[in-house]
Amino acid sequence: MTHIFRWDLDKTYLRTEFDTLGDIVRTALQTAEEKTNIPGTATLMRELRRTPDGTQNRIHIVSGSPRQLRRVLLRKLQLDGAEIDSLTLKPNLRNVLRLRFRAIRDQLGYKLPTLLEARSKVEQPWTETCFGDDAEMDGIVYSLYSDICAGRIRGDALNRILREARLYPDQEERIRQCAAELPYFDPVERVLIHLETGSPTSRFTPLWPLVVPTFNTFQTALVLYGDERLTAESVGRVSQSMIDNYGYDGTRLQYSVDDAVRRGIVSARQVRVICDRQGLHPPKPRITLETKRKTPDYISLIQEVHEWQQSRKAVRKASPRGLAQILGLDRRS
Amino acid sequence: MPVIAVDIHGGTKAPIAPVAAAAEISRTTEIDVILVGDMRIIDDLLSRVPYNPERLSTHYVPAESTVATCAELVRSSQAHALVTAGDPPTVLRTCVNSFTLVPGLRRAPLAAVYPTAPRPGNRDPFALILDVGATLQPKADDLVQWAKMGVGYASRISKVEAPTVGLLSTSADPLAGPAHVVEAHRRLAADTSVRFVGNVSGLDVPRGAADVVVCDGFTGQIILQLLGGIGDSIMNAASQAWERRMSWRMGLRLLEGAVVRFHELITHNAYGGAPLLGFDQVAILALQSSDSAALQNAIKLAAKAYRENIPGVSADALSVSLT
Repeated sequence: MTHIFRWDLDKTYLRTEFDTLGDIVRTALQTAEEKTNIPGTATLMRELRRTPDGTQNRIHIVSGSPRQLRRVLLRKLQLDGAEIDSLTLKPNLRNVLRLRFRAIRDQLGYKLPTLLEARSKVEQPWTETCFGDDAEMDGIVYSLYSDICAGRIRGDALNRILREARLYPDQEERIRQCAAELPYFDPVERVLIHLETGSPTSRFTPLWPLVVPTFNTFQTALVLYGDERLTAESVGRVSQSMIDNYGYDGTRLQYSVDDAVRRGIVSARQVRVICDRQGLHPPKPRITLETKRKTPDYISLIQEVHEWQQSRKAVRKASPRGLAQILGLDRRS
Repeated sequence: MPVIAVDIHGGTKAPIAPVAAAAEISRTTEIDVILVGDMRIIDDLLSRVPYNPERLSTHYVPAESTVATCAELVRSSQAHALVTAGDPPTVLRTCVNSFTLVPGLRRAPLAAVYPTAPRPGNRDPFALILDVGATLQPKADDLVQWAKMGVGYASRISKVEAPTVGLLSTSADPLAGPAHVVEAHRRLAADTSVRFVGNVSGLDVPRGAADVVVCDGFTGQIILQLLGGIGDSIMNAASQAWERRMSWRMGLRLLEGAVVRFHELITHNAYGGAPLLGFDQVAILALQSSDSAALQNAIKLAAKAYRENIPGVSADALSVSLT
């Protein structure tokens, strides 16, 4: 059966920096040829298009990049040989003109209604795998999307979460309306979060096992292999592209597979075939993690993300050790 | 690529500091690290810090056997060096049991760097002192051998061209001090392969009288602790001055850059750890109170010692002395 893959682009598919104003300007001015992939993502996206039975999977991209970058991004995907079914970009200019500055950075108010609207157009019971990163709230957005579709979170519970997320009233209304119209069916099989900005994996523990953090595309491919969304041959092509184009070697892949098994995101049994094919040592079996999903406390999670973003900002702004710190004056005050 | 085995259970800030240090090294350098320790602790701590799994692996053993396991990983070439902030006598015993001493060497010295005044023709702010705790009662032979290994280490790691050697004593008089120091002085003075500057006193040590200072482990450890204590006292005095007078506070503000630099020099975080010289493998012993920053520097030092082939340098230095 056809499967839907929903991708984010920046920090998930593309290596994009937008921590500073300079980064944002540079990213905006980049040509398609100058844009760089997260190692292995182009091959992975191509491989996901294929299915063992010959049917074509769907690939939809929902990105926070501004709509003005559509041409460059489509050209980049074309250069990568990645076929997609849709590319949805953020109306940032419209947000600026309407003085909705919070919406420029906000992900939940943009992505969640976009995903729900897109889902309402899918008439078949096709399942989905979603790809995001740890820079913003992708894990929470996709998990919430899953819970809303499944009917686990609607009505008052949804309203409370939306209030905590500080969305604009029209965004809230779009979400509520889509949620009310969707049939109760959870399409989200897996959410894969690429750890691009140095988050600890424990940040995603409350969202386990739906949301799985991965450090590189090889680990992502291993999870997809475990979910039977990729064949061993496809995983081989992903790792080969990382070796050929990004300087990976057997040691890096071995460490990656060991880490994936250690963290329990794949089992040693699942990756045995991959290890045999790629000349890697099969990792020792590890304890199996809890596989039953509990509905997360989204309000706490949203608060934690806000705190985490503030702490990252503080770290970026922190000056090197100064006199007060060295003399212990900061401790005394 | 250097692979460093890190003991996560060594030191007073273990296991958080070693795991955090290894995780940070995996993200910021091209050094591979193996975390050696208890499975549950490693897994729990790793889930709470950012790390790069492409450069970090784990080796699970009970907390009691981490140093021996690190040494075994190095001996069996699965790692290139070990770093531990564990109990020094235990680490020494383990290295003696697991590694091979350079032929002709009786005792392996523990070397450490300390900040000195600028030395002629040498821009490195640190000088080397050995031994700092491995051998409490050396013989003259030991002191001569350590001097040569210290020269090899200083020229490779600190990049000092033709390092000078001083022998720690109470005065410049070659006949002052215990018999083994007098004898070592005689032999070093006669050895043309060493730039021996004679005896150096406690006063000369921080003045930068020599690039390499040789002494017994008991005295060496006291010297290191004393230098650390003096540094702390100076910072304490500056802190008190800050509180007492506005004019002193302004002066300290004007000197902020210099004070920060001074603090960087005197804090042991900058040195990382002490290499155990004279074995066929690289072992770095960090201070037991090492925090994550100090252990990161210890791991970097271990990688550098491996890249510069310090065991080979020690062996070369001694073959000269033995012929």
